[in-house]
Amino acid sequence: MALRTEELMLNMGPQHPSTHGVLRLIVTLDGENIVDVQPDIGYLHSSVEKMMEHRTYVQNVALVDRGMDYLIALNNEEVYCLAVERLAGIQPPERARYIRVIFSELNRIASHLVWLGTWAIDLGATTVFLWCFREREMILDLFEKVTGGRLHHVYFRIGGVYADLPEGWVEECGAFLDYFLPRVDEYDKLLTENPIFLARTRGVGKISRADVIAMGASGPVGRASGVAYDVRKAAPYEVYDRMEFEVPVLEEGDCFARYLVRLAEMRQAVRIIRQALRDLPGGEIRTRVPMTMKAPRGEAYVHTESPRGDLGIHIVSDGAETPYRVKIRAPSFSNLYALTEMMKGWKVADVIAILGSIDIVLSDVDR
Amino acid sequence: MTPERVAHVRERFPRVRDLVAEQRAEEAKANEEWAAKEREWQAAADQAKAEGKPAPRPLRREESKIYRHLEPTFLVSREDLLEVCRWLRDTPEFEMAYLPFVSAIDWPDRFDVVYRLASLSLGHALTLKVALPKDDARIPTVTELWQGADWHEREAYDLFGIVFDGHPNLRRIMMSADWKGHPLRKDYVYEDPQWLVDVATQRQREIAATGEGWEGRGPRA
Repeated sequence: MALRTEELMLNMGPQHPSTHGVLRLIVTLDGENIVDVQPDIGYLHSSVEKMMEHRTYVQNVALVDRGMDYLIALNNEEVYCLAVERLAGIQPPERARYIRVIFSELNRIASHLVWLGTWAIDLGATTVFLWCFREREMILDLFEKVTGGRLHHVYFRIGGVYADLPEGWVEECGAFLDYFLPRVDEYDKLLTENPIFLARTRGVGKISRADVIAMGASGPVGRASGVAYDVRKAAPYEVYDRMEFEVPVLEEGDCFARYLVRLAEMRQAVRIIRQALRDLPGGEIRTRVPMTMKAPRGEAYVHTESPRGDLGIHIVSDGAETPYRVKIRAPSFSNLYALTEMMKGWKVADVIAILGSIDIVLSDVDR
Repeated sequence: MTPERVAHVRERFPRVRDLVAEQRAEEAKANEEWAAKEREWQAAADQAKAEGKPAPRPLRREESKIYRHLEPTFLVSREDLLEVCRWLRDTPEFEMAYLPFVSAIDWPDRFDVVYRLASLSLGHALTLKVALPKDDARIPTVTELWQGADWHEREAYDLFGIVFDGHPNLRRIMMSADWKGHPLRKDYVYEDPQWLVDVATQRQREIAATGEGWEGRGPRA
């Protein structure tokens, strides 16, 4: 007697802890094998682009903290402030630009730590999660001492930063970096040669260089597939052109390569912060801009390298106090689109490993 | 984008408008007019001085109303769009294999569809704009050139109502399938969607059935 088989539709999410937010995946299975994955997004859509049209340029700094990727508030503030500054022709002082580099790199480390911890726990490694969050807490403490906030800071302002670093902060930050760098080696030891971890990640969820480019994916996802593109190098902003750092690029394109790239990025971030702390100039921290500033008619596009990739803002002004249109080019949006390609041909048990490896934040995808 | 490359685009596609060049020409014209005004004023001031009269009121230059493009930007007609895109992607001089985003702007008289193209190997980028009439917001899809345009075009369809002809899967992406209207349009008015109204009325019925409304609960602590 012939056995009848048919494909099975499996609904993952929108409420599922390992989707890292509210994401629904419609997985088509043939037995245990994935035939197709269709991400269904929009559950966290807050239409922040519309909200920004109704608030002044200055007010919007507070909005990009939460309306965009909530884990990297400082990187969001950075790209928004850069976009408005470019549009209005404002030049922030040197000291502010160094401070911004320090904080956005610290935020990069904090974001990568959240990713590493949660991804490792997805794969069953609880210790890494506890260790990562232990170090992340220290970064948040460093943030709190300067900005008063732990997740949402409203620290970068148009024309500079809100407050100067308190006394002793630079030394404290330096001490944290000295403490942190050996911790990265510890994560490395826990995971990189762990046979269970290797079995679940090496060779899993491959995506080719050509596919990454065609799908518009960027950031660590691209660099793990051999796309040597980092906005900090390709179109340097702030003072990145004065910093010495390497862009880790691997060719494999699997989950393991994405993990190695992010691990290397944490080490490079430490290197950048150390240089910025060393070269930090004195002087003003903010160019004064009026509370109801108006940008001249026109449009500008600024993009930066956020922890998730190529984060851009296209801002349009009609000469009023509020932007006429803001388009946020979110890296997670394009990276998530590449998920379908990565998942094809893998088993249902790999869904979580692959999804976690692209490091999406749903408020960045949906905005 | 080097000036040579910009010139090359204009040479290859004479119908494509270089918005940055147009803006510079406008600015130059405005500057010239201003310089002429200043000369006139100076002459009047000199004359007043010679005659011993008080100087005329000093001039104040008004803020420029010229729309500024801070990135290389080209205006393309929708008929030329696919050809221009294909050429920019496949010509080794440009090699724009990377499409960061597709988006739209709702102007009072038109829609602008915005394409950002970039080259990862050569490190340059440009913006293409297509102006669409309000009553005929249709444009060919570029998904066959850049697969990643898929979701971006769906988003522009969902939030602006721009129809991308030939798109393989043009459905709403952010809003629910039964949503009415396109939220990022300037004339959009929010209305509670039916399912939300249903949930609210259901809840009201439940409260009514238990016999305790807000009144029955006494003063709030």
